[in-house]
Amino acid sequence: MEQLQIHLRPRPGGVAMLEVQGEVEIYTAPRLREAIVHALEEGYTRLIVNLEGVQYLDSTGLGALVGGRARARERGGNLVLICTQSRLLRLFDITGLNQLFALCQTEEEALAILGEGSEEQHGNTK
Amino acid sequence: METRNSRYVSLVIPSRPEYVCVVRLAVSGVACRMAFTYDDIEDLKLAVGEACTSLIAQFKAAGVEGEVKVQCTIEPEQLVLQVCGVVDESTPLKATDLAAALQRMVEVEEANLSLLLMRSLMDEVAIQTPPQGPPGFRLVKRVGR
Repeated sequence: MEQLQIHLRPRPGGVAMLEVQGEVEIYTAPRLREAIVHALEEGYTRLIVNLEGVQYLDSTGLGALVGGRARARERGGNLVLICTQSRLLRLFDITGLNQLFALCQTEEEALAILGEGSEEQHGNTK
Repeated sequence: METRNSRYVSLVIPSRPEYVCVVRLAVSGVACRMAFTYDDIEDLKLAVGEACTSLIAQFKAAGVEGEVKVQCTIEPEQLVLQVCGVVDESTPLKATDLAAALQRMVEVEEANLSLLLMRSLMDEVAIQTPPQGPPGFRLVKRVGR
């Protein structure tokens, strides 16, 4: 079995979800980085990275997510995370990245946050 | 090399990313034989992985290959992990260069996620530099803390 598997699944409204399964660490993190870049190049600027299947995440994995978010925002989009595992949430707390990322519990919540961002970009305020 | 109260397990890997998971598995196996909780073992795996990652990054930055040596010292109340870079002095990267690079990590600690994670997950973290020993990290996790 591969150490890391990533599947891109299109979602409504031009959003793409990257479902990540396995271990994201020094050896595999470049593949996560490439998958995010590939999704952006495919025109998906609003990304959801689903970390529910991640068994291990280290600083290089966190770095790939930070870089991916920056790239998405450069293109006027965003990158949000689905993450409910306490061990992973602890890493975001320790590193302060919980202040940077939208950490969602469900896909619906992630889509709603990306939708709000999209409306703000077009000057629509509720 | 066994003393009355300490036991040692050592492992040497090439300075390549694909071998870091081997270290994590080995340390996990050692920690399982002590009275650590599941969360403690996960902390140990992450911290030792970060130490290896930091050393491998320095080897990669210098464009040379070396080895990473991990020594687990099993004591009644704690597990001590020494994670060191082993350099071939015939390459452009010297032990003193590696030590200096690790020391720079401390200076930019806030920007360095590896060191931040190690310090948060372990009870003690020290950067070891020559002449104390080969350049690397000394990580301590106490049982029942």
